[in-house]
This record gives sequence, structure tokens and C-alpha cells, in this order.
Amino acid sequence: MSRLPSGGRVDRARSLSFRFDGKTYRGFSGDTLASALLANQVRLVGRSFKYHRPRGILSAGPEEPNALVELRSGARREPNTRATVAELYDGLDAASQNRWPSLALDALSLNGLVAPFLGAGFYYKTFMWPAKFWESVYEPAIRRAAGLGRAAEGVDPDHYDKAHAFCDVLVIGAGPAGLMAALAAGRAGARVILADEDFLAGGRLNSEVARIGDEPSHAFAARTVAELASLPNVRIMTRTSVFGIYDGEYGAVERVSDHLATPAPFQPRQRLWKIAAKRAILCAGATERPIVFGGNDRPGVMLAGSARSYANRYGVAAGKSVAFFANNDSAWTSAFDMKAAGVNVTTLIDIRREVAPALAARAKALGIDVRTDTQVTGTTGQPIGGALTGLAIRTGGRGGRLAADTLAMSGGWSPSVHLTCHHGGKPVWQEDIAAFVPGRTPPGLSVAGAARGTYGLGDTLAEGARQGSEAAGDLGFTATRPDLPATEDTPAGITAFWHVQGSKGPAFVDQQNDVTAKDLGIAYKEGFRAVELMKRYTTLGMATDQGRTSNVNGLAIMAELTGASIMETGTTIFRPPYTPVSLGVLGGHHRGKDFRPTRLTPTHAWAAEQGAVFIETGPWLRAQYFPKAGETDWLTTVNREVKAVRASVGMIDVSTFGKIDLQGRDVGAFLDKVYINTFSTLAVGKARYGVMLREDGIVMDDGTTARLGPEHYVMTTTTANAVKVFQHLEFCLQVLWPELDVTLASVSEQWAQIAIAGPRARDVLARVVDTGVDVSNEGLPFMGAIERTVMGGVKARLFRLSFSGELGYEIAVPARHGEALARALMTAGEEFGITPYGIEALGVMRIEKGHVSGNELSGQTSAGDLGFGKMASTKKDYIGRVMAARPGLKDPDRPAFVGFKPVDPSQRLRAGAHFLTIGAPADMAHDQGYMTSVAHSPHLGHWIGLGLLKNGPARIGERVRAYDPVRGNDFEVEVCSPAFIDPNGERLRG
Amino acid sequence: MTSALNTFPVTQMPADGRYGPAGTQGVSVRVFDPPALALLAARRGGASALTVAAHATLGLALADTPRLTRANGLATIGAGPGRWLVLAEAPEDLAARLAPLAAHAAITEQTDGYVGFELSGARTRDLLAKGVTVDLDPAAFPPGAAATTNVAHINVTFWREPGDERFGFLVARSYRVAFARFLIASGAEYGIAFAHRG
Repeated sequence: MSRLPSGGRVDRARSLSFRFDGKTYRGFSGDTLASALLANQVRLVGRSFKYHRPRGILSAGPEEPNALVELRSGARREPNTRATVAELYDGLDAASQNRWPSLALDALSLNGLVAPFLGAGFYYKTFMWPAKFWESVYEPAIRRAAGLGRAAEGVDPDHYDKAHAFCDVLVIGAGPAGLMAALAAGRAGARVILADEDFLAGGRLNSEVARIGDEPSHAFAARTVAELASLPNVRIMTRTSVFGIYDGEYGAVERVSDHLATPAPFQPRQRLWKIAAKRAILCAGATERPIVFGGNDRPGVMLAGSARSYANRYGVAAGKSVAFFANNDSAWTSAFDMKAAGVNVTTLIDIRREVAPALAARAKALGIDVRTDTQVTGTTGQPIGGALTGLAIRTGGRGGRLAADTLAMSGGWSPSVHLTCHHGGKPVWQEDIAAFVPGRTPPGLSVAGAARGTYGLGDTLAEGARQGSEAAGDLGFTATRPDLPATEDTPAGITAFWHVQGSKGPAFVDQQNDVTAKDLGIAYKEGFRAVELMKRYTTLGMATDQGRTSNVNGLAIMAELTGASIMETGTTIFRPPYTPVSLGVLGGHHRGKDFRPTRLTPTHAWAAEQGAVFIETGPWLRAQYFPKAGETDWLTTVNREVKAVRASVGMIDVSTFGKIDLQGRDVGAFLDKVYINTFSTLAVGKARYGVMLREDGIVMDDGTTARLGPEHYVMTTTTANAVKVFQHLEFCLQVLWPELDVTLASVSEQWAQIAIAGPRARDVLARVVDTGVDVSNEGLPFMGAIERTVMGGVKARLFRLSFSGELGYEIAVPARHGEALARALMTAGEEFGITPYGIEALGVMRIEKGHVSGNELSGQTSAGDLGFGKMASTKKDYIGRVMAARPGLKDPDRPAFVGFKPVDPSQRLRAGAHFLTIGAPADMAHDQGYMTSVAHSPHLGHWIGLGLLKNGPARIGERVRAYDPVRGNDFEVEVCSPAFIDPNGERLRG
Repeated sequence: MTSALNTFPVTQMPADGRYGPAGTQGVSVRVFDPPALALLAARRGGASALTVAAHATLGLALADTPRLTRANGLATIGAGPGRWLVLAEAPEDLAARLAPLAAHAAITEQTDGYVGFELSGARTRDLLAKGVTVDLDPAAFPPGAAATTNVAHINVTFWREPGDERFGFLVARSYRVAFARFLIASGAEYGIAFAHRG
């Protein structure tokens, strides 16, 4: 066993069972998957992305490039999960990825056909021969090996949540600096959020062994967390990664249930937080860097601080004989710690000629073999699985060998500056610590502790406390700095060092992307020297770890090659998210039908009872058609509905139209300015059809506006443009003509509106209005608009309008009465066979009548194009008038609105077909326009269409070719008037 | 765990009852039709005259800020510059009562335009944090504070009632089911009791 006999922040009383690649192991509560695997001496964890090399566990944190596994199975399978942050739970099931058919068998295949495949040789070279093996063996093998992990194929059974939080001070990271910052601000009374991506707060205090005051560091952390938890104004959020800084808001993901086999009932899997914080203190710590040398990717080679973390936090020995390779003092402290914890630390290799005498003396006292001025030049490993067995070293010019199953390496530390760059700040190279530290930070954000290059524990605690109290003080809280306990500061000397020259075997810079020092040399030779180019050419720093362990090494090596300084070379841009964020959590509950809110019409339940088929129109669900028993296709139903309306009477809910209430002395004058036609002359009790343009002269919307009283109007808009038109009118009133006495209110939701149409419409209406309400042709003439009561005292607005071309009315009642009105109309119309119809039939009838709709109001058509040229007043100014007079919009050759019918009546027209002069080639140079809307007209017994044709109104009677290569149609159509029925409007005036 | 949303269709209000783990009830929701509701919108430049008239004739204190005030059976809620929603405690002809203000304001009937949701319970703020982008800490959003904002893509006007953790919402009628879905999806983890006109 590699579990140390005692120690660690794991709960040895709570043993957990888990499986990796089908084999069952045991770990403890408080383990990560990585620590539990190491405790079980599992060293080979996965295979690399490109070269398929065996890989183990490099780190103990979110920076992990190698130990990526598929966690869970079935629909919950989650690829590329970092074993180093996956919290162990009972029953955890994980599998290695990027191997075939299994990690073990893959290794066994070494002995067979593809022996060089897993050796030191290059993957590409391996596949050069024998050539005939390419198709039969290599390509299938590569295809199986390609990619990292497999996404789940089922629908994610879990749900995700989003939430907002507000605080005075957000502290990011609960290590020594973060705990002190939160304590200082929290004690002052500020609202504090302390977020940490780990499941155990404390950061390095749990991984190192230091005295703080009279207690060990982990005890100090636990006690401080307990005090913070007791403060009502402090919220501690563990398992929460702050991943980005946006405009005044911090994005974070809380992994609510990732540490459980399945979330508890009704618990989300993860929660996305948007945190609005007045101040933030970044205490994100630092990430250790590997050293680049040949064979540095073997299982068993890991980061020194991580090896220390496994010993101190998890009570796990990373190996049986551990050597260190470093350029800095922190690795020495790690070695001493581990030795004290009972790990067999054999050797300390340091590139430096000299180290502090105290360190050397301590090593000697602990019986650790010290090799200064020494570099590791290569590694040897087991034939199967490749795990480390020994090191090749070079002292001065002399080579040597050492046995070790674990090499703990440290090239120094890189402050976690990521978030400081999210507003464009660039990190600054600090020579004495050989690291980038934060440059300009986002507004309101300060940085404390290792994240700003302050490595000493005492300094870190002090810096956190100071910034916490300053942040609270800035916000008006009286802050006293917490007492700072005494600490022993560990030495932090470093000599910058990146790459062992002349080492044997591939020397990996980025282990996740299999980028070697040699690849950087190629990038240099081929001119991809700027860091952003280098990144994209070599893929260095991409994927889940975003180069946490590789970026600085990579750009330092490039700096060596170019001779530029590291500061001159610079870093690539750090963008959000700091850590991988699942798409599910960004969607939250808005998935499937909840992608956006569904709006229901007032008569929805009634329509559902009637068997309506519904269709989404924007956010609305509207009745599309009402099939009856025996009707097997929609066209049969729609033909029946249309015929019923034209023969007798039908009804449709039109509540979705935008309805805008306008009140004030100047409404008439205002409408004159926004419509192309005149409204100031509209009499009380009358409605008028109007067209409004955008400022650029293109048609924005159409609809009717009725005058209900001297200073009271109500406008209808199309369903699609309800919001846009309201916004436009508000803009006009607030910005263009603030002097006008006009007040707007949306009444779209207040009024349910049902249209009834057909020769018997008046008969039906007469039966629902209250006694004494005159709906005769005199009492309610065409385009009349009156306020009366219906159904026994229910307020109603009655409009005599028609979209279908039939005698038609629209009846508006307060929305709560909408469903009752539908039922009342059905009863009143029973005698006439009143037929509910949907928007398909509505569309057919408007096409038969030649009315424009959404397809024609396409944002590209002028009033002239749509046949409204004569409606446009020449006696007044209105929005869009000037721009509509541009030559391009006045061009008589512009495609203009006309109707079309097939020359062969059996042909089905298709919207989208383009018009060509007969005989002209089918290319864009000869394009004459296109078909915008088509319908099967039950009235005429064949398909009809509306469209925009060059100079169309002058070409009525002419034949053109309707060419639809998409659906393979090409036939002749005749240009005709768009009004296919009742062109003189006799029906609707009757 | 499967979302509570799977328990009712997007086209129907959820049935009365409890949603969430057994034995928990962090939030209670009561859905109600406003007894009477109108929008009072000051005419151009008339906000101060309207405020004076509303106080003199109806005893209403119109605060030109997002706040709810109550007087004489009416709650007025600032819903925009110079705009107030007037919510009556009992059914009445609100247009008639507000008629004396017509010289200074446009009065628009909205009784049917909105559906009310009253939320209460210890976890109400935790639920609302999932949709409301306003700081609901009592210090920042005390009783009477109101906001017109967007929750889960739905426009709402809401306010805090006196007492512990009690909020009123007005939601456009066509969005009532969508809003109920937001509430239940967000509140199920705390246990949510849902009732119509209860």
C-alpha cells in the first residue's frame, strides 16, 4: 500500500469503494480520484492525445494535463474529467480514455505487431511501414485512438441552475491569503463571499506542514473557516470556481452534486453564479511548473508540490523511492516534509551549484542524497506501462544513473494571474521570482498572496488581512486588521531554468497536447515565433488545462531561441473561462421546451379541447389548424376551414397581435409622423389601415389603428413586431418629439381578441353583443371601431376589420373573458356551422385576398414595392419619407408585389422560387425576383402565389419562369393581380 | 436528478400541491388574479402635477421611484419614470376612481393584463436569486422596494411586502405558465407549495 500509516485530511473511518477501468479499489472520504489511485499504486492512468504515450498523474489540482478520465457511465458519462479534482464518492466509476481496447491490453500489444508504438519512438515514424498495414491496421487503430474521451450519447438526466449573488467583497480562493482577507472583511461587517474551487477550504495550508501560531497550518485553516462560517454576513462557497470577470460581474460555477453518484432529488448538478461584488480579492495561489527534459512524461514523474500534497493532505506516498529535481528552494521543503511524513525520499537533484547551507544541512540530517549542479537527462521505465524506474543524470559533464520510481520536479511557481487579465491586463515578468505577476487588474480587483508572487506564508497571511480590511474600509466599514499569528517562513530562492539541453527522448513542454521542446524549435525555424502564433502552430497551451503547466516553459524556451527576454516575448492572452465550464450549466433550466418562455393565448385551453394542432410563432403557441376525425393531412383540414369561412363563418384568436394604447392631445399628429398615410383625419369610432417605415425607408410594420375617443387611440401591430413597434414609438416620443402630448401603454396582454369572418359573421356577432348594441351595417360600418358590452356586461371593443376578405369583425374583451368569448361565439354560431380556424387558413385567405404579411415585410421591401405607393401622403413628413426617395428605392425596375398562378393548374408553387424571363439563362444576372408566399386556394382549386417581380404590376398577364433548383421545380407561371378573390371588396363591405 | 419541470406541460399551470423532496417546504406560492389594476402614466411633463393631484384627490403618495406605497385600498408601484401600476385590494372600477387624474395622466385598464404571484417562506430569496438580478438583501431591498425587471426572459414587476421573506409579482398573463415553471424549477430543491388563489 502507498497509503501512509497516518496523517492527511482524509477520513480514514469512512472507506469508499470505487472502480477504475472495471477494477474495484478502496479509498477514503476526502480523497480525490487521483489520490485514491496513487494510494492503490495505480500509476498508469491514461494515454496521451497525439502520441498515445502512457501517462500518470502529474499534479494534485486543476492544472492536471494527463490524468483525464471518463467519469460515470451512460448518459452521465463525462469525458476529460481531471482525476486530480474529482472528489471520491462511494461507487465512483471511472475509465481511462484514449486507449484501446483497454489500458492494460494496449500495453500488452507492445510485444506484438506495433512494438515501437509505445516505446521512445515517434508515433508518426511507427506508421511509415509496412505500407500495406496502413488501411488494415494503423488507420483503424488511429481512429480508435483519436480524440480525448467520449461524450455521453444520451440526454443528460440532470438539471442545472443559475443564480445571482451580491456582496461587498468577493474573495477568490480560500488559501492563507483568502482566509485572512475574508476574515478581515467579514469581521468588519462587510457582506463577503469566499469562493474556492476545492471541496476543502484552506489551499496550501492543507498541503504543507507549517506552524501558524501554536497550531499546524491545517488546524489554523479549519478554525478560521469555522469562524467565517459563524459570521452571518459571510458565505463560504466551496466547490465553486470563479471562472471569469465580466462587466462588474464575476462568473462562477458551483459543483453542487459532482461529488455524489447522482444528485439528491431536485438538486441541480451544477449551478452557474453571477456574482456582483463591489470589491474582489484574488487569492488564487500559484501553479508549479515542470522542468522540460527527455522522458519527463512518464508515469511517476510529477510536480514536487503535488507529491507533497499527496503526502500531507491525503496521507499518500506518491512512490516507494522518490527523487527530486528542482531549481528552487520550495522543492527542498517539499522533500523534507515528505520525508517527515514517512515517504522514502532518496535524492535531491538541483541544477544550482549552491543552495542555502541550511537546506543542505537539513537534507544531510534527514539522510537525503544531495546532487547539486546536476540535471536529469533522461528516464527509464517499465516495459509495460512505462512507469518510471530510473533516471539518467549529468553532473557537470559526467553522466550517471539513479533508481527511482517517482521523480518530484519543480521549475518554480507561476502565480495564477488568469483572472487579472480578463479586462485586458497583461502580466509582468518579475525576474527575482522567475514568474509573471499581475499587471493592470480589472476595476475593483486586488491580488494577494502567491497569485501576486508573494510566496512566504507570513507575508501571504499579512497581505490577505491587509487587503481584506482595506476593501471593507473603502466600502465604509470599520475594519481592524486581524492579529497575525507568528509563522516560520520557508526559503524561496530560485534560479530560472526551463529546459535540459541535450537530454534523451522527447522532452515534453505541454503534456496534454504532446508538444515537445523540439516542436517549439520547429515553430521557431518556420517563423511561428510570436507567442500567439507559436500557440496555434504547436497547439501548446490549448484544451482543458489551458497550458497551466506549460505556457511559461514554452514561451521561455521560445525566448531562449529568439534571444528576446521573457517579458518581450510575453504571454498569450488569458481569456475566460479560467476552468472548463459545461454547456449544461450555461443553459440552466432553459433547455428543450423551456429554451425560452412559451406564451399562451387566452383561448389556448379551449383550442386544445377543439383538437387544435399548435405551432410556435415566436414565443407564442398558436392554433395552426383544427383537424377533424378522418382528416389525414393538414391540407384537407385547411381547405375545409377556408371553405367554411367563405361559405358561412369561422373564428380565430388574434390576441397575439401587438396592441398599443395611445392617449393624449397629439396622438393624431404623432401617428401622421410614424405612418406613411394620414391619421389625424380619422374620426372617432373608425379604424384605418396604416403602414410605417423605418428611418431608412424600408417598411417596418403594418396594422390598423382605431380612434376610440377624441384623445384615445389603439394601434395593432403584427405579432412578430409588437415589441419592435412599441420600442420605435417610445424612441420617437422620448427622443424625436418629446414635446408631443402622447402616452403609450402596451395593452397586448389586457385584451383577448377574436376575429370572426364570413358571410354570417354579423349574425354571430349580433348574438353575443348585449341588448341594444347595433352591429348593423349602419351601426358598425366597414372600418368601424366601437366600445360596447358583450356576454352580459363584459366590456368589449368591436372592430369591423377583415384580413380574410370576408365580412369580418374583431371582438376584444378583457383577457380573463377570452375563453368564455370563444365558447359564446361557438354557441352563437352553431346554427351556421361556425368553424374555428388556425393560422394556416388565415394565411391561405390573406394570400387569396392579396394582403402582405411577414414574408413580404421582410426588411428589404419599400412601400412602393408592396403596392402602398399611393397610400403614402405627399402632404406631410413621416419617418422614412426622405430615405424612401433614394433612387435605389424608387427604381421602377425594383421587384414589386404581384400575384402568380401556374400555367398548368396542377403544378404546386413553391415560395422561394426565383423568376426568370422565359428563355433567359438561370443565373443571378437574369434574376427577376422571387415568390414570397404560396397557398393552395380552395376557392380557385389550384395553387396561387404572391411575390416580388421586377416591374411586376406592369406585367400582369405575362408569363415568367418560376425556377426552384432547391426543390427541382422549373415551370411557367402567369403574372396576375394579387387579389385572387373579390378584388373590389364587395364581400367585406356587405 | 430530473427537473421538476418534467412533471407538468409547458401549456398548463401546475396543479396545486407541493413540488420537491418530501418533508420540505421552503417556499409557498399563491397565484391570484389582481382584483383591479391600472397603469397610471403621467402626460408629457405632467408628473409633478399628477403627484400633487393624486395626493389631493385620492390620498395617494406616488413616489417617482421603484417603490410600492399603500393608501385607501390602493397600492401604487413605480414602474418607470412617471409611470405607476395601481393595484386595488378589492375588485372595483379603478378607471372611475382614477378619473379625477385624467387631466394629468393616461389611465389604462390592466386588470386582465397581469397575473399575480405571492411568494413567501424561508427560502424565497434563494429561489428568487435564480432569476432576479436585483440584490434582495433587506438592507438593499427593504419592504416596499420594487423593481420592474426581467426574470428568466419574462418581464415582471415585483416588490417586497412587510414581514419576513414575502414578495409580490405581477407577470404578463400570457407568460404565467412560463413564470410558474421558473418558480417550480428553481424552488423544487427547497420544497415549494403551489396554490391558485389560496
